[in-house]
Amino acid sequence: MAAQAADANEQNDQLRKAVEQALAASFVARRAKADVAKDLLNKDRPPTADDIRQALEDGGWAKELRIKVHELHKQATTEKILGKDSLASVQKARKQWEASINDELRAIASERRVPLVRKRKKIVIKKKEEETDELIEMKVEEILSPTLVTPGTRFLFDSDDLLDAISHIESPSNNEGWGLVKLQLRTATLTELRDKYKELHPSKRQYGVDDVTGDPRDKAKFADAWHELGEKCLAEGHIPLARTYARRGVPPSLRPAVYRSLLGLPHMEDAQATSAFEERYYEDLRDRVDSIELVTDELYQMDVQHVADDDTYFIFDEMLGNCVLAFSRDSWVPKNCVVKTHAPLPCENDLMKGQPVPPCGVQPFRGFVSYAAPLTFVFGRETSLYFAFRAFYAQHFCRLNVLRTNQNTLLPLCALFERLVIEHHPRLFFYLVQVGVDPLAIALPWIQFGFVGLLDVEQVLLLWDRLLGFEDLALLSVLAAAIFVYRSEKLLQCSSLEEAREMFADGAVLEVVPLLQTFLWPEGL
Amino acid sequence: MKWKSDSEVQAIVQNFSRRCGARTEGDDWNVFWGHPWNVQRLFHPDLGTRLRDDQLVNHFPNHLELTRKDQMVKNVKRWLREQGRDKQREVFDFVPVTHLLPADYSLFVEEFRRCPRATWIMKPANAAQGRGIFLVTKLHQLRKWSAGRWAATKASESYVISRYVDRPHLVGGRKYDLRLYVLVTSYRPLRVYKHREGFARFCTSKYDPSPANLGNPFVHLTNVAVQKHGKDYNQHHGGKWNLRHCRLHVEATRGRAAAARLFADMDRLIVDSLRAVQAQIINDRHCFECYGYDVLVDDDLKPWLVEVNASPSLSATTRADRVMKLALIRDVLDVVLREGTEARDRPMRGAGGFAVLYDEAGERSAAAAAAAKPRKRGR
Repeated sequence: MAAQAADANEQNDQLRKAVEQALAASFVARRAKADVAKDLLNKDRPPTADDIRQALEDGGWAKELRIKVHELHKQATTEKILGKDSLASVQKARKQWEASINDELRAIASERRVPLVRKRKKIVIKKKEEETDELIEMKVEEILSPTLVTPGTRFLFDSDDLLDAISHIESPSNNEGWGLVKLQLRTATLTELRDKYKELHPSKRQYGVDDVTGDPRDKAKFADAWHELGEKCLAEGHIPLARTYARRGVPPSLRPAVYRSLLGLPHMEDAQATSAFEERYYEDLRDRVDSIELVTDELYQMDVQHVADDDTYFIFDEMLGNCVLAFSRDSWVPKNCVVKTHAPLPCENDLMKGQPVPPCGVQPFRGFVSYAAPLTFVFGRETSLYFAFRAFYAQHFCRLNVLRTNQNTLLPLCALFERLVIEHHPRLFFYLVQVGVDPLAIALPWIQFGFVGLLDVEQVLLLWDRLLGFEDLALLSVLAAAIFVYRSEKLLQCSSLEEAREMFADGAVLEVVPLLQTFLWPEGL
Repeated sequence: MKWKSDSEVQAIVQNFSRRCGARTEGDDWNVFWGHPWNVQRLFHPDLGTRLRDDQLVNHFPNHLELTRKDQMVKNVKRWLREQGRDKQREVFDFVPVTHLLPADYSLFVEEFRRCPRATWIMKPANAAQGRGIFLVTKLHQLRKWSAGRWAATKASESYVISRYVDRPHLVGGRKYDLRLYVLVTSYRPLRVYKHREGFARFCTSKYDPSPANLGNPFVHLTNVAVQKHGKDYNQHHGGKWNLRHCRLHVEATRGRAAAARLFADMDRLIVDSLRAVQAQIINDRHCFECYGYDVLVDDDLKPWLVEVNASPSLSATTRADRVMKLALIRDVLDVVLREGTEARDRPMRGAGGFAVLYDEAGERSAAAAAAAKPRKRGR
């Protein structure tokens, strides 16, 4: 009953939001009309449709209206995944999974004897501020900085636990396949995939390939032309156009603007900037982090510490830590995610006004920071990074963390990966299973984290460009399968999971687009 | 073929064993990779060594004109002045004002008074690795410190003081500098290669120029030797960032044109610094030299040349570092051995990670060809 009430609330919320957006759009339309009417009435003949279009362009209204209409359309067509799953076994598995996470969190809190929520103790670091007449030699000195994570802290769960949960879902039809996903789920066929991703065909020039290989003059020409086209798309303010553009890769300098536009963030002249509303909102979240301590804080921080060891992302550890903690306080997240990630842990505490712990409804797990890390190579400021990361998670990555049968979520994506490898290279799959290596055990973290940690950040972003462009995550399964087939010769010699994992230690040399192309169109042009 | 070296680092030993035959301790070597002191000794007139045609050595007989900071700055400033006089083009200055103390003390005071709010950085002229470094913000700090000290100073104990770049470009709030690898195979005519690999070295602490931090090396100094002592020093990456990642970040946050300009300016800085000392270096045809360029980028994305090292560290601090340095030396050998055997008068194309940055002979003949063309057409 309670769950049904919550879903009904949810639907009301969505409806209210749609109405608000429609009102906002009609407000813009009214202002545009009033503004343009003066010009049109001055004419000595009745205005034609072209006159009106021209007047809207001239007055600068066309772009704004296009964006508003697109938002409305998007709001109306994005379907949220709510309620019970259509398969009882999956529904059961999800309930168990969510309950075990919350049990673990309660266990950690009671072991460490801390409440779920409490006021944060202020840590004051004294600084020497006075100027001196002495010349001070630079000397190595111990500087006290607060330790963020208590030694011995453990993660609530990691990808291996998730894999375990996936492999224990019973199939209603007693399907005994080779893969770990025993459910019979509808997955796209190769023909369907080729059609869906036709813009990736080798006959179409791709950013990330044709700007770096081939004749030097030719590739420079392509890079210039592609960059220019991207600027035109952005100037139009036509979001579907920008989306089609992103399918063939976005140059690094245009990513901030293209990502903001495709993620539905407010348009800014300088794409590194954020709106006044965004600034205030983020500051408010940071204030809440500073005043209230959640039991989940250390668990998120522990995840961020892994970033500090990474030779690509380490410089951004502080920025990422701040973003992730702010995210955990953000009650916008459960309201706007396409699908709810975990079951909220209810909490009766005046400090939180009835909000669950954490308010974002995403329990900390190992690797979560991966969803924000590559975006540090797109957005230089913490606030702009935050809103892109939050939108990306709400629209796409939350799907990779739920146990459901809905299309474009984790289970069907895992099933697609397994099916593609079996179809493309049955001998490889069979060999691996025989030596005790489940391909999904290796590929799950790749799929779950959008290939962060395996690929170089340049390649990760070239892949994420396409995720936004196609608005679809099946590319993750295709790429994982492509990498397995590409490395099949080596994999056919491995004899253990450790050995197989070791073979991907050099993942940073892999290139996304050629791999996808060779897999989807092995016959070439 | 035989090779000789006074170094035991993996990058040298492994590459030379693979490419240059047997190791020798005698004078029968074909390639010698030595410390600058040992190579200089080789060229000492008292020794009267005459190198054979088939011998190559990894330093030019002199290099202080380029690698002693005060001398380098003097040479570059003079060269820039000459360039500015000769042509009406804009002078691209890339060296911070630098003086030798106590020798140039009065010049320094003059400069200091011109911009009283500037910060200066003072280092011993002959030491490295981050010892004896001071940041100076007030003249009387320096006077007090030096009182009675400089009267008895030997030349070998002098200090180099430079204008501090106090608005560095920051990434993630931290200061960094860039290390680039440059190979010179001839000074007259000048031939320069640049390696595609390089890295940014980051401070472990956030940059904060307030007076309270003037004594904190983790905020101001990027040397790995210094940062290694920090509590936050990380074994996995050693505070080093790939040059490609640096460019990707600059392109996204500052735009395509700004990134292209920065990297073009760095190329220009390398070539100009070498042209500035071209006449002073003894151009021995047996010599080549692989320099480590330290470049600091300010907040306007203008590069500043901090220092040139004639023997950049080849020992590795991380896995990525080891791979990179092995590749660097492999490519150095590739260029110098092929230049030596194939053609001394032509630069090597496609030599591993090295690309030709400047080829004076080639540019001259190209310019001559261009000048000849219209005349032909005129006939």
